[in-house]
Amino acid sequence: MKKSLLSLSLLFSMWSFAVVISGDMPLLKSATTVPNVAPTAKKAKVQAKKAALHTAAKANTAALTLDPTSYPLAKDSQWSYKDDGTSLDGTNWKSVAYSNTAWATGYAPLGYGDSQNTQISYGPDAGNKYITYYFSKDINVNLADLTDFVDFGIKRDDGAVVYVNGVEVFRDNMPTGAFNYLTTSTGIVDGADENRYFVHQVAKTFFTQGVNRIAVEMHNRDGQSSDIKFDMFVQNEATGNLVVDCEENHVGCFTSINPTAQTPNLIIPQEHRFQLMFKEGSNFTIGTGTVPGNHDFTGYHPADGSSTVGRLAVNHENNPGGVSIVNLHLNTDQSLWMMDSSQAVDIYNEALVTTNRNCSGGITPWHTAITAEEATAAGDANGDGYDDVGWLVEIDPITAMVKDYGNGQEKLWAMGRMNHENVVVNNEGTRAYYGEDGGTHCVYKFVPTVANNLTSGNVYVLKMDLPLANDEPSSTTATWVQVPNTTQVERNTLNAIAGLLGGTNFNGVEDCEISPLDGKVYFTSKGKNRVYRFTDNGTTVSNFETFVGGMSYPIETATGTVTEPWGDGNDNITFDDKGNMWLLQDGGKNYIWVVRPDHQQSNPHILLHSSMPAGSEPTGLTFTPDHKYGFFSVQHPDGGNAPQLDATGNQVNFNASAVVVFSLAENLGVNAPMADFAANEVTVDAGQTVTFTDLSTNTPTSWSWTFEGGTPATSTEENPTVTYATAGTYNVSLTATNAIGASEPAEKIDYIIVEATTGLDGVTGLDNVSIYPNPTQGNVTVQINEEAGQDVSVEVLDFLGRSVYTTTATSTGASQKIELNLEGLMGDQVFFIRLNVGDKSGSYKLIKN
Amino acid sequence: MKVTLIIAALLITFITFAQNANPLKEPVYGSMESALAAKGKVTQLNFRDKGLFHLPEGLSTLQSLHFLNLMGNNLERLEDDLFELKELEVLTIKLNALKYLPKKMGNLTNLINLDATDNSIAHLPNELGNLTKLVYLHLSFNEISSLPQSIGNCKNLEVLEVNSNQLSYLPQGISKLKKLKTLNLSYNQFNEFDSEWTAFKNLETLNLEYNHIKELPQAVSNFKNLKLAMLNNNRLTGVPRELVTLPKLQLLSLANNNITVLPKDLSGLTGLRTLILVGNPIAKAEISRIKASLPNCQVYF
Repeated sequence: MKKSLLSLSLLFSMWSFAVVISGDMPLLKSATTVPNVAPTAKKAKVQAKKAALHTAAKANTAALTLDPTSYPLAKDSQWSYKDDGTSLDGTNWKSVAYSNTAWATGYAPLGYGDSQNTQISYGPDAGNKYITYYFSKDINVNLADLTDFVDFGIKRDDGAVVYVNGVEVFRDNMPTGAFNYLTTSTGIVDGADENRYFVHQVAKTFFTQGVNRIAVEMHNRDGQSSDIKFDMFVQNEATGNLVVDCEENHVGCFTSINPTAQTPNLIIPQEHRFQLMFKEGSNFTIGTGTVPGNHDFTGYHPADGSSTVGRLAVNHENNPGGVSIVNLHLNTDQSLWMMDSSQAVDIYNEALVTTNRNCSGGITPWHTAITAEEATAAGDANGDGYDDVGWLVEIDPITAMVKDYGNGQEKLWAMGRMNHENVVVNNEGTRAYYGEDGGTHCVYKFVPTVANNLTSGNVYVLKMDLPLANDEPSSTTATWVQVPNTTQVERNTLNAIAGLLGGTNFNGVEDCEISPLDGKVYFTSKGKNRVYRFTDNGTTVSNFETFVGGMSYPIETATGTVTEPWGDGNDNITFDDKGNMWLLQDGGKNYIWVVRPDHQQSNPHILLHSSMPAGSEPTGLTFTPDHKYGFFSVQHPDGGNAPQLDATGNQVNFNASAVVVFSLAENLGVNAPMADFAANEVTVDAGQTVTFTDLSTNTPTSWSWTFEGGTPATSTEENPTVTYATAGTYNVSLTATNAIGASEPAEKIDYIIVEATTGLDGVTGLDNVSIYPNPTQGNVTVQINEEAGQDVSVEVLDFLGRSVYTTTATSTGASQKIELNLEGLMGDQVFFIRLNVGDKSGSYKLIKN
Repeated sequence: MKVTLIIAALLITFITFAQNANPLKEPVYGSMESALAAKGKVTQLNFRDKGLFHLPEGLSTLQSLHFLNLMGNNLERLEDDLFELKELEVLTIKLNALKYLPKKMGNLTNLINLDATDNSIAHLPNELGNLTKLVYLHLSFNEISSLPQSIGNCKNLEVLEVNSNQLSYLPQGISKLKKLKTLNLSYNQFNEFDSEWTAFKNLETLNLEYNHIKELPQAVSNFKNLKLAMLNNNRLTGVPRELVTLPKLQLLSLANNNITVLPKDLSGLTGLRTLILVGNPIAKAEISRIKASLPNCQVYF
C-alpha cells in the first residue's frame, strides 16, 4: 500500500512535469549563470599539498533529524548530508519518503579543503577521494507565497544536480544525459567562483503544499581534487520592487556613456550637464591664500534643508591637508550655481597642530562635516598625549570651525587613530561605520554613548566568522569585536589592536555607506575590487555578501550593449534617494559607475556614468536633498587637458583639481533656445507687410528665418518685417541659436494667409505697394516704388464708392511715402484706396477703426 | 624665572608650528609659476601628485622655503637643487621611487621633519647625522638594512619610524638619542632586542611587532616612561620580570608569541589598562591568575 502510494505520487510528479512541458511553458528559464569565467587548471598545482594537510575532521557527525525549515531557505542553513562514499544510485534518496535521519547534519557551507562551516569527509584516501556527496533538506512551503519561478542560488564546487521532491530541476557543471555516482563534473570550479552563488530559476509547479524535499548531489571534478563546497539558497525571484522607475526624470536615469580610456575631457551622459567650480589656485574670498589642490570629499550641506542654498565642505588630500568651506546658491534664472564665499578651515592652531591628507569624510545627521585624515605619521607636537594626525575631525560648516566639545577644539579621539578614509552615521545618530585604507584594513563601528555625539562611545571591529576566499565571503556571518578605546594610548593604537583582536583585513576600505532602501551597510574594498554589504544585528552581522565587483558587466549604451570590466580602485560610494549606488573609482579607468538597487551578481544592472579627465580620479560625491544636483571633485588631473564647454557656456579646462556639479541638462545652465515666434498679422492682403516677433527662450543670439512667399525670403534679424505680394497661404520657420547650440526649427504651417486685394479695378502693373498701418486709426502711409516723374493720385472711397479724400503727388522712385490723414472720417469703416501712378493703377482695401 | 618660562613657552610654540605648514599664515604654493610670481617670500610649496620625474626648475631660487611636500611623484633621485634650500625645515618625499638618500641631504641642517616613507630606499648616507635639529624621521616602507652610525648625532630626534624595512640591528650610536619618545621598528628582521636600546629613557612608544625577537633583556627596566609596548608577533617564550615593573606602561601587546606564563608578580603594572595575549599557548589557569592579578586591566587572550 505504502509503496503503491509512493509510486502514485512519483507518477503524479512526473505527470505534472509532463503537463508543464506540453503546455509550452519554459520550465527552466535559461539558467542565469552569469559568472562564467572560464575555469582553469591552476588548482591542480596546490591540490596535492592541500590534500596532504587535510585532516578529514568533521564538525558534526551526529545523526539528527532536521525539522523542516520554512520557506525561503537562507544561505548557511543546516543540511543533512551523506559523505561516506556510498552510491545512492537507484535509490529513492531524493524523495520526501526517504529517511535521511541516519545522515549527518551541519551548517553550510559544507565541504572540505577551504573554509567551511562544516567539514565533511572525502574518505580514507586523499589521493582517491569520493566523487559524490549527498545533501538533503525539507522545507515547508505555502504555495500561495511562491512566485511563478523560484531562485535557486547554488555555491557549487564542482558539479551539482538538484532535485525537488525527487524530480531533477537543474544540473550545474554536470554532463547531460545519464550519470552515476562516479560521474565527475564537467569543468573545474576555482578562484572566486568557488564562493559565488549561481542562480537558476525553477518553476513553482515543482513544489507541493507543505513539506518539500530539496536534494542535491555534488560531484567532484576527480578523486584528487583539493576541495569541495556546497551551499544553496531558495527564494522568490526578484519582484521588481527594487526597479528604479525612470518614467519621471531623475539624476540617476541616463544613458550609459561608451566605455573609454581617459581623454583630455570629462565625459558625462548625454542627458547630463556639468558646471566646474572652486578650482585649485583660485582665491579664497575670506582670508588670504588660494584654494589648495587634491580636492577629495565634497559634501553638500543644505542651508535649512535647501537644495538651492548651501555650503560645500571640500577636503584636500594634501600635506598640509585641509578643508574648505564654500557658501553657494543656485541662480534660478540661469540655473547655475554661484559661489558666494569661500574660506579655509583653521586646523593648524596649537590645539589641533595640523591636518594631513584629508581623504573622504561624511555628513552627520546633525549637519556637521567630518573630514578623515589618512596620514598617520607619528608625532605629538603639542604634547596633548594624542598623535597629531590620523583622526576623524568634525567641522561646523556654518562657522567653518573645528568643533569644540567643551575642552577647546579637538579631533574625534574616541573613534581611534588609523588611516581614516570615511565615516557614515545612521540617521538616528546611534551608529557610525568607517574603514581603514592601510594599517590593518578593517571595518569599524562606533556606538556613541549619547546619540549624535561622537566624542565618546565604544568601538567595534568587524571579524568574519569564516575568512574570505579569493575575495569572496565564505559565509554570510560576522561578529563585532570590541576594541579598547578608553586611554590615549589605546586610541593612538586602535587600529593595530583591532587587527590583533581578529578584525578582518579587507585590503583598503575606502568607504562605508548605508542604503536608504534596505538599511544594509555597504563598504568598498579597493584591493579586493568589490563592494560588500551586510545587515548589522548589533553584536553580529548577517547577509554578508558581495554586492558588486570582481567581474565584468554588460553596459547598455546608446549604441548597444558592451561588456566592461569593473576594474580596480573601488573608492567612494554614495546612495541617491532611489537607492542607486554611485561608485567613484580611483583606479581602473577612473569611472563613476551607477549600480541599480535591483543589481545582483547573477543578474547585473549597472550603468556607466562618466569618465574623468586624464590623470584624475573622481572623489566625494554628494547630492542636494532633492537629488537634482550632484557634487563631486576631479582630483589631480593632468595639466595638459583640453578645454571643454560647461553649463555656463564657457570653455573650462580640467588642468587642476576642481569641484563639479552635475545634473540633468534641464536643471543646469543655459540650454539651447526653444524657438517660437508670432506675427503681428496672420491674414493680410496681397502687398502688405507682416512683422514677426521672436519669442524663443534661453536668450538666442542669432536667428534664421524662412518666409515662404515673402520678401525677403530669409532673414537673420531678430524681428524681421516681410512683405507678401501674392495671395496664398504660406509657411514660416525659425531656428534660434545661442552659445550652447541651435534650437529645433519652429515651423508654422499655413501661418500667413494673404488674400487677393478686393479693389474696384484690381491692380494693373503696380508692384510692391504697401499701405500701413492697416487697420488704421487715421494716419495711413501709402508706400510706392515707381519710376520717378510720374503723376500720382490717391483717392479714398467709402463703402458706397463715394470719394471721401484725395491727394496728388509726383513719383520719386523707391520707397516713396505718401501720408494720408483720415482722422476726419467718421466711425469704423471699410475704405478703398484707388492709386494711380502714371498709367498704372490699383485698388486696396483699408480698414479704419 | 618668569622670563625663562616665557622664553621656554615661546620656544615650544615655535617648534610646534615650525614642523607643519600653516596655509592660513603664509601661502602654500602649488606650482613654480605661482611661486616665482609671488611678491613676498615663498616659504611653503606643495607639489603632491604632480607627476614629477625631476625637481621643478628654479626650485633652488626659493631660498626662503621651509616647507616642501613632494609626495606622490615619480622621483628616482633627489637632484642637487634641493640641497641648496638651507632654510628647509619640513621635507616630505614620501611615495616616490627613490633608491637612496644622497650625501648632500646632510646640507639641510635646519630640517626638523623628514618623511621619506614608501620609497625603495636601501641606503642612507652617514651625513644624515648632520641633521641635528631633526625631531621627526619617518623612513617606513623602504628597503633599509642598516641605519648610519651617525644617526646618534641627531640628538633632538623624538620620533623614529623605520617600520617595514629590512633592519636586523641598530648602530651603536643609536643610544645617544636621549630624547626619543617613539620608536617604531615593526615589520623588520630583528632577531635580538639589543640592551643598548634601553638607553632611550624618555621612550613612551615602542613598536617591535612582526620581528623574530626571542627574548627581552632585563634592562627593559630602564623604560621608566614607556606607555605602549607592541611586542606581538615575535618569538618570545616569556618576558623578564623587569617588564612587568614598568609603572607607566598602559598597553602591552604580547599577542602571537610562544608565551606560556607571565612573571609571578604582576603588581608592578599599576598603570596597565590593556594586555593582549591572544595567540599564545597560555593555560586557562594562568589566564585566570593574570586576570585576577590585574583587576584594572582588560586582558585579551
